Amino acid sequence: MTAILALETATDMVGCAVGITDDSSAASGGSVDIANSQTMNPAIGSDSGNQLGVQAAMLVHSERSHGEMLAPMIQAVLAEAEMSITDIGLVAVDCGPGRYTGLRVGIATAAALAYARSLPVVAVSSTELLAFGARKFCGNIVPVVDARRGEAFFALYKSNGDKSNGDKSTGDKSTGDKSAGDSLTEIAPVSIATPLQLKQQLMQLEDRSLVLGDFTLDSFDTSTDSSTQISASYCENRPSPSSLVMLAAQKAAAGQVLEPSELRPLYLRRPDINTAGRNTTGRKKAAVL
Amino acid sequence: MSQNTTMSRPSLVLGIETSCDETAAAVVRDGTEILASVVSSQTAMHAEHGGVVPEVASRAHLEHLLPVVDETLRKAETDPQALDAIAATTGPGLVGALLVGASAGKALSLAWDLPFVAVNHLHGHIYGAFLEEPDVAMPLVALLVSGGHTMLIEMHAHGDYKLLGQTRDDAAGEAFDKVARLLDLGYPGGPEIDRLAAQGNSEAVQFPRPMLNDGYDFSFSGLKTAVANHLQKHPDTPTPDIAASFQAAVVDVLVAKTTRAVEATRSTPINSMVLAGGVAANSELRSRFAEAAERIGTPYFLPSRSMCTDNAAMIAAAGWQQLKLQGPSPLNTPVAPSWGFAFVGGG
Repeated sequence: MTAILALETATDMVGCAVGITDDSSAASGGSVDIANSQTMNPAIGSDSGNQLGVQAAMLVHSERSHGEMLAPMIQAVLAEAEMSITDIGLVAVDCGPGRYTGLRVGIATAAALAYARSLPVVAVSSTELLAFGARKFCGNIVPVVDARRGEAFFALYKSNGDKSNGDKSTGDKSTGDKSAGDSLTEIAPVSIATPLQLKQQLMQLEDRSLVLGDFTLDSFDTSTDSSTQISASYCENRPSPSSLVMLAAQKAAAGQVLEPSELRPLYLRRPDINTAGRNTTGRKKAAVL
Repeated sequence: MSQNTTMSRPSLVLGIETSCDETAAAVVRDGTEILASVVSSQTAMHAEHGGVVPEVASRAHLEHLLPVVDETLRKAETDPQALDAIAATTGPGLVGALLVGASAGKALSLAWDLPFVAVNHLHGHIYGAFLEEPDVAMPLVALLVSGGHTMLIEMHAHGDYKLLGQTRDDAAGEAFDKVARLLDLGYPGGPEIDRLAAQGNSEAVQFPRPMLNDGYDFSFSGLKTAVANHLQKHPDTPTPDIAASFQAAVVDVLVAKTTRAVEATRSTPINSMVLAGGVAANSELRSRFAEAAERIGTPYFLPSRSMCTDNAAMIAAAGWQQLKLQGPSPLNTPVAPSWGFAFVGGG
């Protein structure tokens, strides 16, 4: 049994979750108790009475107070799960892309916690995590994360609708780096685009598609294209810390763990070079996330 | 959170500093003895842009902080279990940079079950004096001069500060950097101007001494403009003469106001005058500050060159005093990019 602490700070939400994974299935390359887990509902406990799965989770809105909220939230979630930081065996963190300042809060916290307790870490991308949360959808999944300045980070995944759900021992070893979960295959890696470029990409997709994320979804007027579905659910449009626990368990089982000092945000942009404290979009420098 | 820190046994504080362009950590015993202090400077990284680029600084802090903390603990030969508190700078400074150190500091405090102390960077600079000279007598007057700040502070006891005055526009260090740019010198400008001024005539150009006899506030942007105007009218003035004349004008103002603050009538006389901050490395300022102190018969403190630079030892020292006086800071303490001296508690 390994307890996982998951930290989510990539968007305008701050989240934290703890979950327990069964090392015996991990060792055999199996996945965590996905069958018992519902991404948006952290109240999990399997029917058989064991305590696998997400034990406690919080996800709250925060414009610019990630740095104030995260550490107390970790304490609150651990208390809710009746666990201590010393029980944690693995730290998972969303490394973006997303808001730079939020990502740095999450990664600095995850790295310092893991360093202090000599724990391994698992890094996931925000797009991978969004797609994982929507893996029951069968078709193309297009997670979109606000990149500010009128642009969006996005990636493309193919999902078979989580059909492997009932057969956990199948195919896990072959998922490799490209997979965001049992049923997800990465088709196009995360990149940055304008709404127009993204729309053009969406129009080229065959099969039905689900677009989700925190980017202004009005930008994707696909009314003429009935095969594209746009998620309107606020929760599903944000990476979930409970999903992060589950996804991290899979990655850990596949050996995809890092040292704390190896964690890096996925910035996907070079830093703004403007020492005068102004930038071209007119936002003050303190607000550039 | 344990708060069983007492004065009865030696205390060990891990300090973390990431407010601007130095990533730093230190272990300090009893607020006075540095067991290890590691500073990873980004100066070279920012030099090509002529100033600190906030996003570049934030990214570098995140990459360097853990290795710096790890190196610090190894050099101090300190087991984390022997630590008594984590002190991190939470302001003033660049918001993205502060958040890296504050977040890591809170996480370490959570992971090791230690009190967290949110430290004001400006307090830290004053505690640089106590680190190097534990017997500095209070009440004292401190002149804090750096790239971001120019302040005169009166300190009566630990935690008891009074801001006498500060700059209304550019900080002294900022004026050095801007004039260095006018003179086509490199970044940071302070050391270059210091070096050139030694070869120049400080009386070659009579630059204004802004607000010399006017209260304890400072103003340096007009002086910078005067240098620009002079260069336009007299482009042939030798650069060392400009550097020396400009530097003399800044130092005149800084030293005159500090001296006046020390000599001002009070119920309790000032027992020492302290120089702190990055500009405290300026050799002209150091010698004139010392001369003035000797002239008025007041003991003075000049920081070592390494203490002038931002470092985490001063944060650990300030954090230790703050913990004793005020207890730990909550883990939801926000970073405060424009945290001043006037708003701090204890005084």
